[in-house]
Amino acid sequence: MTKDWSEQEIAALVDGALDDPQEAERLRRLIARDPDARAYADQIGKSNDLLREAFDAPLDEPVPAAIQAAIYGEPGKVAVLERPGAVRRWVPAALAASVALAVGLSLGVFFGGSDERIIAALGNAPPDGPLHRALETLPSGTISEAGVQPMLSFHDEAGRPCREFDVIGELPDELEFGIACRSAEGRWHVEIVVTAPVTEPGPDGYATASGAAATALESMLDALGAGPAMTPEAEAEQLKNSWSDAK
Amino acid sequence: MSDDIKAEIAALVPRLRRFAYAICGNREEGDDLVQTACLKALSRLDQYKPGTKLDSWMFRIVQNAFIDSRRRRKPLSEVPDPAFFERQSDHGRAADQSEHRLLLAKVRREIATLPEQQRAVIALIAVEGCSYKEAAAILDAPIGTVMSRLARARARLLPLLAGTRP
Repeated sequence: MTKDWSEQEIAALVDGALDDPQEAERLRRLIARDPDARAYADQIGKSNDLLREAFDAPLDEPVPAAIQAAIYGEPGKVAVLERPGAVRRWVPAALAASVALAVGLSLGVFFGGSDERIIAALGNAPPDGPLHRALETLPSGTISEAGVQPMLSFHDEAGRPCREFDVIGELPDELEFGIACRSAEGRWHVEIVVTAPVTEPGPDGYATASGAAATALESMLDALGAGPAMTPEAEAEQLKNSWSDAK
Repeated sequence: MSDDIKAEIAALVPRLRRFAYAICGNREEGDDLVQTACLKALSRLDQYKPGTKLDSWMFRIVQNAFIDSRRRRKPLSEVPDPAFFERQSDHGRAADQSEHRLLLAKVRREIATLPEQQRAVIALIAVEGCSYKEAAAILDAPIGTVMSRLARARARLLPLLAGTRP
């Protein structure tokens, strides 16, 4: 039997997302006769059940007092919870500013009230900082609590593992994009950081740099002699071995 | 009318908390988001069009509060601690380490590692049962984008769930 159905249309049926009753009927008949389609429909149904169950704890609980107060309380009496966060300063801001002038690139300097923080600056990332930790431990596509997202990994000409990353900043419409490579001593050396406006993420959920920022990143990739992007499996292997295994 | 709406919002709170939990992966932060969203909603009731779906409107405000909080966020602990999700999974329940419970914890961990937008799509469609059209309206994204994010999220989740018994 040839496959005359797509996973997306079977999923749409199970999700109850089909508007056309005739289409739904056609797919139901298809599921009845095609064991592969049936198996896929079962899988989708089962995973939807699991997902609902995984997050259903709040459904049996009463409305928490703080939320109750937010809805019924007098305005002004309820403060929105703000978590006081420890601010870690990476390098003195003045130093970073002078580096920015020197290289003519925008660095990740954020101003939030009286606090300032710098997530990514050229040079070695401090090993106790959020950038180092994210690059060292997170699979690509994962965003750390500090807003660092490794995007992909590759090896450069010298055989160093390198990662492209972005940093979600304080500014609503900007992302910092950077490339860092890991030295034999285990330090992540930031080779370049550029700021770019946030663009609509592609179908894979990634926002990418565009325009001048993309050009700068590409030049850096060329300069590094970047090899092909690691597969998720290869990257997982690297993460497991703390990037230290000889290739 | 304001009191009616308050009662309607209060009735939605359990689902809003579930949605917030799914998108941020953390009960406490989820409740902060719902609280913020309720305050925002009540301060902008004039923007709500009576007759339209209140749940869609509220999901949208929760999702936007989440995006705002991620942008504004000061560094806390940088890497989500898997043990934290485990611990949260037992919240308010017996500490039953059955295989099924571990599986649910695994599902939560896996969801937490999806890109944020895929997480929102999965939470709205698979968890909340929204239609693709509703999800697209809530997330302000074309329906094709929503379907593609959904497909990507599933490509990651289904292998994890394959071969598991309900």
